[in-house]
Amino acid sequence: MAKPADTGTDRYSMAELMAVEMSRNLAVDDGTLGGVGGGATIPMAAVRLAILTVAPNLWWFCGGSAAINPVFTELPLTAHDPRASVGAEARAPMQRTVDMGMRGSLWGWGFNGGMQVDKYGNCNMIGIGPYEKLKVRGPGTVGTLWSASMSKYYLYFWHHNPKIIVDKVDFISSPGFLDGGDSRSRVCLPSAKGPALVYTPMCVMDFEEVTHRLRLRSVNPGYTVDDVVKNTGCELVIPPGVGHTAEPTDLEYRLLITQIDSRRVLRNYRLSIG
Amino acid sequence: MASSDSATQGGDLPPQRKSKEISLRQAGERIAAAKTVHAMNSAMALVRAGIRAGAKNLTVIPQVTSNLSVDLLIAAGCVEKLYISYIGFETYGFAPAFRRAAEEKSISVVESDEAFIVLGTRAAASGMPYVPIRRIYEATDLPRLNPLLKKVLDPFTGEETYAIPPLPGDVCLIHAQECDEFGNAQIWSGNQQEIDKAMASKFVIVSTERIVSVDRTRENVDKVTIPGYLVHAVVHAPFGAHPLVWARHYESDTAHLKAYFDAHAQGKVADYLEKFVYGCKDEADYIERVGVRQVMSLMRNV
Repeated sequence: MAKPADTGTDRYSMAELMAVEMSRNLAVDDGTLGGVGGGATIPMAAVRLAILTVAPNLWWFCGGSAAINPVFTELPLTAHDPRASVGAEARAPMQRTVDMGMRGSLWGWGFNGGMQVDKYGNCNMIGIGPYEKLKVRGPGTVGTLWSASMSKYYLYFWHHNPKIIVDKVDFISSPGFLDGGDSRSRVCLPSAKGPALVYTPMCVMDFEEVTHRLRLRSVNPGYTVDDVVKNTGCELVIPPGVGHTAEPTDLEYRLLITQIDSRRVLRNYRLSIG
Repeated sequence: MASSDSATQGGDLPPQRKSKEISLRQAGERIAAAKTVHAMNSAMALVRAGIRAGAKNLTVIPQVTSNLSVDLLIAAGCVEKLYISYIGFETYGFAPAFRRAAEEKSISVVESDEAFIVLGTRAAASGMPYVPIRRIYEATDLPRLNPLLKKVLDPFTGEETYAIPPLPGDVCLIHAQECDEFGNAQIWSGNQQEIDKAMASKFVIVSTERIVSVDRTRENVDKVTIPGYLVHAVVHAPFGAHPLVWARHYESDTAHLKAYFDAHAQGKVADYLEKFVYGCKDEADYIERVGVRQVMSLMRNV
């Protein structure tokens, strides 16, 4: 049975930890444009925190509300909540967003999710089972196809279990490294780097440089390497001495709960394990 | 001069500009007479009117992220075919009527994505025969699942591309914050998918939270997102996006949405539809059934 993700401490929730860890890793994107979409509660908090801490020159686009660089203090649940456009500096209509994606330049990074992800970072939003007789009909591909094909991106999941992180996805709706090795670069532009990091309520993962297999990078507080392995449906590359994801610093946490998530949406945000 | 004579002597008045306002019931009849519908999420009053008017066998081209407007049409058995990009309630979960109908195959699904809908709509809006895009779809299962994605050779480079077909509509359903009776409409805090949807459709219906005077439109011309020449009919529909959030007006009605999800989970969708759609003689009746106090409680912090 699925259990709520638990950091083992009352000082911060798992969603808050994920937002903080995501924010740190956006430092390398400083100065570039990226974006988030539906259901991106945690990534929206992360981008705002990154701007306040490590990447002051980020440009970011907030999906359905069309907002560029919003500065809300009440974290919205989704990018199309009008709250997500509070304090925006500009607006980008949907048509222009798709144009940027299709060009393959301008768009630096994004946050994507899915119903399933496999050991090469391919994602499935279409469904589970044979297409003619789907056991679970998924919600559809949205913008994950072009953003995954045409840029670097981050993956995030609300749940960590062997049904979500699988050996092979039932359908590829957004491409990761396809069959591993150089198979992605044979179809996608070399400049479109593909999935960089994968965030779950249990751990952070990246991809081995040559084989492009999913690799454990750090384990979130409250869990062990063993827990991760047990709850993952594909073989993971586990480097020796893999450590824990760093806890939020006082500054990161204070900024998060005062400047970004004053309603404390992430405090009780439901994430699950198993 | 004759003209000034007639003006001073009270002759024929100059011709009057014609209002485009129609009733919600008339709008419902237009929707029921359509085959293909471009629908914005927030056009909930129009969707309810279409269901009441007996819409059937619709092909729906929704927003790239769609939710209740499409799910309710499916729940009421109005939909034959859906162009899918995303339909669901994000942090609240799957779209229940869509999921069941797609799994039971009582609707057909065109396996699309954001670019397919945005570019196909733009093709219909601008008269392009199709939109060619890069080979990126090759990396996914979409070309295998969507027969409308066809390979064409780029005549300039000889490279393979994918062609997205135009997606025209018979009617387009839009809800606005403010609109005058000539169709000049303001949609706030959105990402402007409505403009191409309107241009891609033969008959454009704008329901509006408020009908404003054209003087007020002129005051705020920078906020007008749909010029009235694209609009064929204007419908006064206060709370017309309920139970969804409506920028600067009301918060999403999570209690009502939960009642909708619960109705699905308990096999009582017919009861929900009877109470909140078929059984309502108009939208004022709908709001009374939702509860005036409930609706008023949503009018803060947005």
